[in-house]
Amino acid sequence: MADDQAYTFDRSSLRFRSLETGRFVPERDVRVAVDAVADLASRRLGEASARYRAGQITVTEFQAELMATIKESQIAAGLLAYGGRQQMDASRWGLVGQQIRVQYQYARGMIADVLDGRQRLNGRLDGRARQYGQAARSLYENLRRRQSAEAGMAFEQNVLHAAESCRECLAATAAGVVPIGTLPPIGQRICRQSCRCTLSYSRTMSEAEAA
Amino acid sequence: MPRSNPRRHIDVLAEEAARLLAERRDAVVLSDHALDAAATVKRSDVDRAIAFYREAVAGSGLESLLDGPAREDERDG
Repeated sequence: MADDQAYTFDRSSLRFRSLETGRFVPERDVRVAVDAVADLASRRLGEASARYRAGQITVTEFQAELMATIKESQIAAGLLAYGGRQQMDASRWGLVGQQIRVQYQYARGMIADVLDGRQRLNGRLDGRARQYGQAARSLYENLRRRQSAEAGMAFEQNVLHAAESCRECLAATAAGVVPIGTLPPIGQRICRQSCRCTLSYSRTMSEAEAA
Repeated sequence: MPRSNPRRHIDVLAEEAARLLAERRDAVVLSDHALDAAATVKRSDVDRAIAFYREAVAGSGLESLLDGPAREDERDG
């Protein structure tokens, strides 16, 4: 289904709204879009790694593709978190740029490992490359968390989505509703970039319990 | 004609190979300065990211979610 609708972003509820219908875009739909961005990036990076291993591209070309895909997916995740291009300002772009820089540092380490022979040229390289695509999901979650705190949300709750979760994600869920900023950030838990958890936010404890 | 020393010859080849590998590594692995420059978000990067997003969500009905004009404070380039 092609979509030619125009959307706006409601700053008080922090949600996208269709200008045509006036309805909010459900948060789960936005998260499906985030997943799609992370998955496309992962697929591209895994394929680029496989092409490099097969001798079809040089290490320089592999690195260029790695960096381009990281940037595209991180910016897309940032735009989804903040509500589109119109909601961005220099400070928000700076924050997204910092996160791209962090991913670039990790990617540089991987390329150095390849050149130094510390990273074997097998399927593990493809898996390692794919992780940089999954980082889009944690960027989205962590920007949403920051934005929620700025908008006055006082509580957070971990929501599991994966069929199997690491012990840190299970513990975060078991903690229930806690003050915002308490839980370990998505992407920095034992499961790292494989994390499929999300965080939900509320202004009051009673609002959280009613959700 | 002097007799060649095979051991010495292998050492020279190994040194040359190591030097070439180090040169290649230095040419590929980016400096901190290069990473800083590459991580800066420019308007053309945002355009590419939105195209990437549209490809990722094709068929979902949310393709135009991130559409919209660029703001003036986006960096040129």
